[in-house]
Order: sequence, then C-alpha cells, then structure tokens
Amino acid sequence: MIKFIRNIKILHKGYTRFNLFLIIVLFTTYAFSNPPVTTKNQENLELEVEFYAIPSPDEILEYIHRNEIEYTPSLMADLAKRDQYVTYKERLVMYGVYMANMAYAASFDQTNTALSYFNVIEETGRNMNIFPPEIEQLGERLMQNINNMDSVNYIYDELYLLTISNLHETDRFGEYALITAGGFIESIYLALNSRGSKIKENEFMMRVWDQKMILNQLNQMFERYLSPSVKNQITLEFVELNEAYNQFAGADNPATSEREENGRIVIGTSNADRTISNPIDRIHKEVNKLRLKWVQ
Amino acid sequence: MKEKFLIHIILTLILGTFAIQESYSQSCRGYERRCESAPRYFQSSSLSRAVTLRKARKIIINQTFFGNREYFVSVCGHNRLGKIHFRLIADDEDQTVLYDNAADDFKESQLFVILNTMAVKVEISAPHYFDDRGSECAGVRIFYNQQKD
Repeated sequence: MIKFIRNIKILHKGYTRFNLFLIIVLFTTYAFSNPPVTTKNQENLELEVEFYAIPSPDEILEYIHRNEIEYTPSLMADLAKRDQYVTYKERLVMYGVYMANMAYAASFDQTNTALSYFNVIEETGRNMNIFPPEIEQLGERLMQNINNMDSVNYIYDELYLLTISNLHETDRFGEYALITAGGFIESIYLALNSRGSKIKENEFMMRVWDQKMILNQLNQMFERYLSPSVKNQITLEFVELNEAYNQFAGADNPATSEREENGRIVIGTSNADRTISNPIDRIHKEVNKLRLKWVQ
Repeated sequence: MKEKFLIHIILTLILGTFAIQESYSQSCRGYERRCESAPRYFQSSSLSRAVTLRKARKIIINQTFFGNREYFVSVCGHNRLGKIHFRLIADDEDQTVLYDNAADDFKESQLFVILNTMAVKVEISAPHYFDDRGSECAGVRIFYNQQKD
C-alpha cells in the first residue's frame, strides 16, 4: 500500500512536469500565432485567405549584388555574442540575421563559416520550437557532406524552406515577420557594405530601391500579425528607413501583360523609368543604423 | 491526493489533445514539391508554398517578383479538388489581372518574364470542389531565372 502511494506521488510529479511542459509549448505556439487575414468577398460569397511570401535572404542578396561584391567577413554577425539576445523578438530577428550570414558565407564557398552559422541557427530554432521534425535528418546530411559546397547550399535552402513552411502551416506569421525582417535588413547591409559594392552605380542603386516592395509588405505583416507591444517597438525602429525609401517616387504606370508567340507572358510597366535622381545615401545610413541597433 | 492525481491526468489528456491537433494541422507541408518543376536552368525560389483549399475559399499570397527575371509558376492540388484556378494579379491601384489560367483551360504552369520589380498577388482556388466539410492540400511552386543584361 505504501509502495502504491509512493508510485502515485512519483506519477503525480511526472504529470505536473509534463503538463507544465505542454502548457509552455502550447503557449509559445499560440502567443506568436495569428491567423492569416481573411475577408469575405460579398459578390461570390468566397472567403479570401491572404498571407505573405517574402524572398529568402540569399535571393535578396543575389538580386542586389549580382556577384559583383567581395566577401567581407568583418561585416558578419559575431556568433560569440549570441547569448546576449534574450527577448523572443531579439532572438527571432537574429535568426533571420544568421540565416542571411549563412547564405552570404555559402555564396562565397566559405563552408566552415556557413557551418558555424548553421549550428547556431539549428540551436536557436530548437530552443524556440520553430522546427519541424525533418530538421534532425538535415543535420545528419550536413555532417555527411561537410566538404561538398553544393550540399551546404542545398541544406541552406532546405533549412530555410522547412522553417518557413512550418511557421506558415502553424499560422505563426508574427514569427515569420520578425525572422524575415532580420534577414531582409542583414541582406541589404551585406550588399551595401561589402568591399567592391557598386553603391554609386545606377543599376545597383535601382536594385536597392527595388527592395521597397518588400519593405512595404514587411510593414503590412507587422501591422497584421504582431502583438501590439512588439508591433509598436518594431514600427518605431523602421520609421526612418521607411522615410528614406519614401524619398523616391513610387508610382509606375499600371502593369501590363502580353503573351509572346513562344507562350511566355511578358509583364512590365510601360515607360518605366530606370534612372533615379536621388543617391541611396540615406537608405544606406538607415540600414546601417537599424542593423547596429539589432546586432551587437 | 487521489483527486489531485485524477485532475492531473484529465489536464494531461486535454492538453495532449490540443498538442495532437496542432501536429495534425501540418499535414500539407511540402505538398508544393508535387507541382511541376521548371526547366533545369531555373533556380528554386523560397516563394513556393503548400496551402489548404476548401470549398469557396481563395488563397492569396502576396509576393515580390524581381525585375529582369523569368519566373516559372506551377500550381497543383489533390485530385479531389478538381482543376486549380490560378491568377497572377498586380498589387497596384488597379489590381490588374496579369494572367488567368481559366482562359487557358486551367493550365497548371506558366512562364512569366518580369521586366520591372513589382508586388504581385498569386491567387489560387478550387472552383469545382463542392465538399462543404472537407479540405485538401494544394501547392504553388515558383522558380526563377536571372535574365542576362
């Protein structure tokens, strides 16, 4: 009988701990999850579910620099300081920053550096419960193909896609917005500040300016998916960068599409002006300022 | 003591049910990989997504397509959904419809040449799916190719 009561006590303690664990997991999942925006189309009585897909850091970097910059490791986030980011917002933003750094290192065939960032990303992702179970196999594959750069690039792509699709499937759009913000700012920072950056050339400036579309979508995501306190904080942080981007005239003519004989559809804005009168100095300054604020 | 123990068992069952529901809602992950691939010289884009379609539900994915690039967009869905309706819409004042696969016999893939960077909406739905209660997986897969200057 005494043994039975002891067993109940042990089980009781076990259940208490297990329940606490379940409560924490469920709370973090729901606290940062906001359902996608839904609206009812009155004419067709159709429900519209709207969400966002932002290009990954490597796509943004590749688009801006077009292999014209030199690898500048001194710009990259210091992994030794990773424990200094303590709030959930800081850790999510840094997750995006580290993803951009991993993409940057991988694009210059810096396998070991890319691997260091992968390890921190993996650790951070596990601690924040943002990974799907497939990540386990990803780590094993990386270790087996450590000297094969194509594998590292492939694993970066997989890591990013698995993370994002997991957040999407579980309606954690607030977390997606913060990770994307970190990756976005770090990508522009690396493109603008790396050695050899053609910051004064018109085409380069145009590609930096093009990021305004993504910035607009990020602002919408902050508005829709973040809790009021995080939203206020990050909106304030982005005020000056938004102002810098708003210096440029935005409205092109309406887009048109035309089918070619070979079946391709060509889409563009007629008479789109590919020259810009303002230099991107202020955008550069604001990107550096925000990055300095986020990355210690 | 026994009452507390019973309460904890019940609490575990309730929380466990929530946790199981949460994990079951992830069943469409990776579905976009079933959609058609682009020619080999294209690169896979992080803009691809798996979605859940229901009767009378439209999914709208806000994206940015970079200029001077070709984009290969393919859509697919579970057989039960029937044909997948896909539209590409410019996210400007006019919300111009740039492509509608309904005018193309619900073709599941299309190659676009994007001249200037623009915000677009990829809209997909299953107009021939009439199951009031059910839902099925679908996907949008996107590839790109940098055009030479």
